[in-house]
Amino acid sequence: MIDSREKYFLGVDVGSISTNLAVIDNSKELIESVYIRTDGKPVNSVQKGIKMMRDQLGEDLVISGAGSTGSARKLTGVLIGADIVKNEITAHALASLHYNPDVQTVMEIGGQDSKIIIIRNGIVVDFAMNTVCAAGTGSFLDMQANRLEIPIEKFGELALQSDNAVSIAGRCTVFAESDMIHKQQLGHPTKDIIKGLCEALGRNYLSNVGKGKDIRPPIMFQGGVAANIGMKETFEKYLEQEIIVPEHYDVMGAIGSAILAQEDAIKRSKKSNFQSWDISEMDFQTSGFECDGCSNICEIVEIRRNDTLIARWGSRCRKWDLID
Amino acid sequence: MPLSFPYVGTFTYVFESIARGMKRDDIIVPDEPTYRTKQLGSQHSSEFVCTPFKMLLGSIIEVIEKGAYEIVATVFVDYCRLGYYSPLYQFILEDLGYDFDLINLDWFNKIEFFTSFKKLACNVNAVQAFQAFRVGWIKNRYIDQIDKSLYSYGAVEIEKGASYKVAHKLYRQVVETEGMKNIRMLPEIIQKTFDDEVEIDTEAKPLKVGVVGELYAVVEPAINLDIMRRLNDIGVITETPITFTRWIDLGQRMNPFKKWHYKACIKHAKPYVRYPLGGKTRESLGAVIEYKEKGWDGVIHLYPFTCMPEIISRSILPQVSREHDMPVLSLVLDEHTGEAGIQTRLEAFVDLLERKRNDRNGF
Repeated sequence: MIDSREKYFLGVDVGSISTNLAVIDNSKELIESVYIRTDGKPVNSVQKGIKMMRDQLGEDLVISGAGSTGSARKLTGVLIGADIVKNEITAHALASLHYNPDVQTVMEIGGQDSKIIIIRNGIVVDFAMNTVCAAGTGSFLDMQANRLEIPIEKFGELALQSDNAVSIAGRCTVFAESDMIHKQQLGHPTKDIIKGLCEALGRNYLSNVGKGKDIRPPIMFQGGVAANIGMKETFEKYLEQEIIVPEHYDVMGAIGSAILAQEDAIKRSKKSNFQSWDISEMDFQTSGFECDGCSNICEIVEIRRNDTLIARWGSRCRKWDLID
Repeated sequence: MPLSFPYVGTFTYVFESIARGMKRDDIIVPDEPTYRTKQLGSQHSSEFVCTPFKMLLGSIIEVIEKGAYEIVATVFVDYCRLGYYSPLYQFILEDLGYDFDLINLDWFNKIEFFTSFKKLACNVNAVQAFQAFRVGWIKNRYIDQIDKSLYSYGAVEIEKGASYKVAHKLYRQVVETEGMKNIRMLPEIIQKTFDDEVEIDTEAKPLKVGVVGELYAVVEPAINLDIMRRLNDIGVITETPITFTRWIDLGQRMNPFKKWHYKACIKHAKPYVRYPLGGKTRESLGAVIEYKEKGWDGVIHLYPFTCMPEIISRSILPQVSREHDMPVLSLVLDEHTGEAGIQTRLEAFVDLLERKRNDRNGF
């Protein structure tokens, strides 16, 4: 599978819940992917992910370009030496277009963010993300799965077994949770409650994130929550359309980032900035301090690799910035 | 009695100029709002009041702590909750046990306006007071000019942060310039300083994005997480049509030939909203069409969480955007300092605009 004449590109997507890595070849085909939990420690999870990727592909594989995306894209970019650091909307759109060039709507629900991307003729024409509220995102489902002691992977299956969804308020996670507890104390079976929750989150997504958007087929549904068949069915019910869940729905961000790296490599004359597969053995230290220059009390973060300072950010006045 | 006012973006410089012109040497200049200002404000306000209310309250408490007694609270009222700001501040600050005198400059209530104005201008006669005010509105034009240059030079500057430094030097210069003859020279000086001191990339083809929305959210970097500078950093020219000129610039207001941007916007918005709803509802909607006609690439709409008028514009904006093929990004602002969310949305929006432009140009 590994060809020494072929060029390979790495994409890393570090989100609030999961860290995903993908390696693609020059024709944008996925070679290998890794999906692990971030567990609140992005540095460790990137190192762990790189190590797993190296174990799967072998350290002789040369990376000709690397990209990072996700909410920790800036940090990840510094760690791995990314050539291109891009937001996750662009990354997701590119990955979806690669798997289905006709796609017109991409729905992505991740840990903290949920987004909708409207594509026409292969170009992103509109997008929206959840505003001030995290209702309907992966973190909330995760929390509820924990509370009900159901593995998150089983959540969707269980929802499908029910044909009597209870009504749950999806507007706000606090309301949703109290509704769920109320229904559970009344004696409703868990599967009905879970189905009710999926429907509530689906409604909330469509009326909040999807508000005023022209949702046309083909519709792709991706991100960690797409693993939940209950959610897929909810969307099919409300949108009355077929929902496509791509094969690699959970690493689409990373694939998109790798595609960006591949496109960037064509334009770039320099060699890739990509560190090397030894990232997992390097010693990364992140430390922080509070600047007392003014009453903003900015929290400054410093990142050191083997004791050399490689990046520093966090100050509003930018006096500490050490990047770019 | 020491005089002060809450911090409101670069308008603070205009205010300082007017107070100086009235020979008030007891002015306490407010500091830029910080994290502490936000905390102070939200601690003492009701939970669901508009974010600008909280920020301004925090700023007022900070100037009182610095020793201010007379405080100019609001300059005008509106159809929304802005009308309640001053009376509420009065109650809250009294409850907190501060010793102060809140001065209201409410243009719609002429008697109150002039009594308050007289209080402010205790050191000078009527003619001098009017002259100070006039100098203030003229300086306001130049402050606006600096803002405008800052956010266009900032997008194409070669050394990052150069225009920011120049602008801050110039703001001070505008405040400190005295004598009408010298003041009239300012526009040229401003232009020349930017030209001389900011080296720009002449090859760049920057995108242009207008920033509209609720007044405070647009003019105060502390609440909008410095959105205009963020846009500059990703190479986008930006400007806001929302400044204080339309209220305080009596010179331009009396000029029947002056073309007001906001009036044009309101006209454009007529098919969507016909009545004033407070805030900048109609202007925000119309600005999308106005910027489209000017050939700009997109519009960013800012509104504070729980802002009543702008929630209305936010729900109509997708329709305006679709009907006029102009990308619009609505951003809701609150006390949060997590910048990642805003940065992601901005970058994605700019990517979208860029791809749209390339597509139009047939690349």
